[in-house]
Amino acid sequence: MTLSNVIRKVRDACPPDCRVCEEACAKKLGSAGPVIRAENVHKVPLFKAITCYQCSEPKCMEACPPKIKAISKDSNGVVRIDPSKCIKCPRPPCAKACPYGHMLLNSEELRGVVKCEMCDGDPECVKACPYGVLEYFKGEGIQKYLSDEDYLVLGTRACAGCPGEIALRFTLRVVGGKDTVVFGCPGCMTTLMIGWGDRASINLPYVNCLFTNVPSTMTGVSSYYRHIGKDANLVAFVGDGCVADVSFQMLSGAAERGERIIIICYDNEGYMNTGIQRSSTTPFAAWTNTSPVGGERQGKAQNSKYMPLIMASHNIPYVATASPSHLEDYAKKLTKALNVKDGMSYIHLLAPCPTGWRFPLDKGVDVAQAAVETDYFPLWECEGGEFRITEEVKNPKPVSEFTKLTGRYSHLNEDKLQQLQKMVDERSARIKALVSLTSGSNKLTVQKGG
Amino acid sequence: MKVETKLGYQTKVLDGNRAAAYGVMLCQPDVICAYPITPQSEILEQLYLFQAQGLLDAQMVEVESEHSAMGALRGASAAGARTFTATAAQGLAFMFENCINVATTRLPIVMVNVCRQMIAPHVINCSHEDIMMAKEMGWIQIHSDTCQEIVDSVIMAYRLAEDPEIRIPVVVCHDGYFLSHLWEPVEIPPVEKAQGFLQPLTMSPKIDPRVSVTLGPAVPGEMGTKLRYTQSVAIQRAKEKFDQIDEEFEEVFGRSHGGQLEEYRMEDADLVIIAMGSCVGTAKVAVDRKREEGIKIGLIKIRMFRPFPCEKLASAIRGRKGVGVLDRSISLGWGLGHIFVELKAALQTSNVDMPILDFICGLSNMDITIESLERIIDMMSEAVRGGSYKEVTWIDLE
Repeated sequence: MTLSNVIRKVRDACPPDCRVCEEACAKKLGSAGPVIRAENVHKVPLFKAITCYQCSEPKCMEACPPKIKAISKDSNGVVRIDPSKCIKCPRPPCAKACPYGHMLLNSEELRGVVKCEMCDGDPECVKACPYGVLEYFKGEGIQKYLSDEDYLVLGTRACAGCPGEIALRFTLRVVGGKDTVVFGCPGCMTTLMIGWGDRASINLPYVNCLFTNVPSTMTGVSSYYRHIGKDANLVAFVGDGCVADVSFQMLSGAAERGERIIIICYDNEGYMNTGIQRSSTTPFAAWTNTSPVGGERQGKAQNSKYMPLIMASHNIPYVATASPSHLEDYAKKLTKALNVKDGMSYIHLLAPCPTGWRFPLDKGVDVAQAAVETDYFPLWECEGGEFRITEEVKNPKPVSEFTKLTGRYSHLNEDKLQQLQKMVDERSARIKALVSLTSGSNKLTVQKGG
Repeated sequence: MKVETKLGYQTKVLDGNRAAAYGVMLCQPDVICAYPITPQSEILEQLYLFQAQGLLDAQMVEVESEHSAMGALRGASAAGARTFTATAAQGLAFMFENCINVATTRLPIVMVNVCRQMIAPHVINCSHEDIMMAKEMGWIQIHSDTCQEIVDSVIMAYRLAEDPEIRIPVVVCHDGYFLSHLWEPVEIPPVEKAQGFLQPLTMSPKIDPRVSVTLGPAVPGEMGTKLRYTQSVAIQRAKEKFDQIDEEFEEVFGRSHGGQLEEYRMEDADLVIIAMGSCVGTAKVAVDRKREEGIKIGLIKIRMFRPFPCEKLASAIRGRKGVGVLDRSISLGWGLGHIFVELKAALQTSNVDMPILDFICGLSNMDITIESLERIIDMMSEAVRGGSYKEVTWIDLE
């Protein structure tokens, strides 16, 4: 499996009548093109590929008759038409086969097709756009972290559109197969790993635990492996209910002892598996079934407990926040966590929940992106006692740009919004202060395992 | 085992807790996780001392609570380690869900419980309340009444738990204060001899980084039921297995503690006292005294409480004239002691028609005295003679 390079939309900043990208493409391709349409760019959501996806198994390539074989994928993964072989069908089967409509009829000759071939790695449309809307995204940046195998078997089930599932599959591709044992406990993501009867759901060693004994079970395995000199990666993928609430004591104890384990918390900010109830990571004023909206109740009364900073306060070797909207950043952090040999790593991953936060199924990554861009969920790490921001947000948008995307905040009034903004600002300022405080030689002393 | 010792047999004067620690040291576990709680703490302290002296090569993990102690043992044992922990009362209650989890995961963990009453009121002293509360956690449960027996029971516990036909965790119990803090002479065998009595752990570990299996999956109803059935069959096997192990122990070490039960002066007994734990020693003295008065009385010491030794008890009681049960606990809701309730259930299908009396004694650290035992025996005699009697007597309140 290869992650393709694509041209994608990364900012919602198109002026209504702007056609600069289309004009640049038309200039390059001549009267056959263009292959990028301004109206598509304007209306397509963020992070969608605009032109050809450069599919790993191109339908267009399959559709071209075997005796012609004019379509192929080059060494960069770009799907190309060989003009010396293409017979320019009047009703091209390749265009018909493309599920995304990215094979366009040659508008000059009215036979044959034209498609995006990325301008040999330097797309004209990207260069031309004055608003930074388009990006030439290279899959290689993430590809290098991933194994080819998807470790979850067919038929596992999460809610449609669940970013947690995206993150889990991604995580397993990074950590799997490296003498890794995966640990889980009751929660949303367990349903993908727990197995049924004599059938496993996950093609890795997996230990299903109680809600309360993940950190302690991992402590026991880690202790025994230390005793017999065995090296293994112990990785938990567990929810905020486990980490912040029910197993908080156990997690804190393991951190204090310096157990060599990796805890990834997928935070959907509530007890979602049991039907959307508030947890200690549910943010201020958010609706859940146990922090309802009506009468005097206006969502959750308390602000959330900020777990990543709490874990950093244990002075463990590595702590980070991560988001499914920034997978390359997450992959780097996972790799750092895997390399910690003398203590605990903790990664706090935001997992927007379409079912519990109330947003359309295809918006999960957009919501995560907004969380980062509003500084609601800053991306930072604390490595060896040194804090740093890993994704700089120069001008954070107001938190309303995040809350407006989700139904759980549809009741927010101005007063509550201001309170939430203040909490977001304070949290962000605190992280920035820690970055200043701990840079270079001022880094904090790390708690190592005994 | 990486410890090499030239120590031969030793006789030491030890309290019950230290005796337990010696038993554990002889078995050389790989991972020990325990949280201190009165009256267990000396077990832990002695184990740390052994480690410092080079007599014990184990990972000692100072977990932050009993819940994590049993959770950690779950992981370690599943990964292939021989493990140990100890607790009492509130600690046992706190780790309860993990105890059930490790039993139903069939892990051969050995734990020592120092029997103590539960809170409230704030009594931290002896009764059987904690271990009775925990009797349904699916563990094999053994009780000792001398410090020597504690050492021996720990060794036998590992042998029993790790038997491939059993693979069920075992809790070895001794009474708080009355045995945990009682000093007695104890013979400690050489480490090699104890190691020779145990068998190496031959099962493949349930957790292995190179083997893609799922530990603890969800299961459909029929499979879940089948698993409970096989578990139930396995724990029943422990009765006979324990008797066999005790016999083998006698061959190797020269001492027997009786297996499921010990029978004392039962050959021609008309009256039978049934007791468990530290009061057995005192009860034997009372039995001897009453024998001198001509009363044909004997004693059955229950050593294995789970699985409940139904058959052996029924067989030992058949043909007698009266039974008195010493219960160091009360089953709230029955108004009767736990041993009594279980005994009555065990005798349901036997043709036993004789007065069976329940005596609630020794709660909240009350002494079970020879004087109260003599009163108990008198009541039993009265009942057997045809006099009126109560089903249950709270001897310390009369």
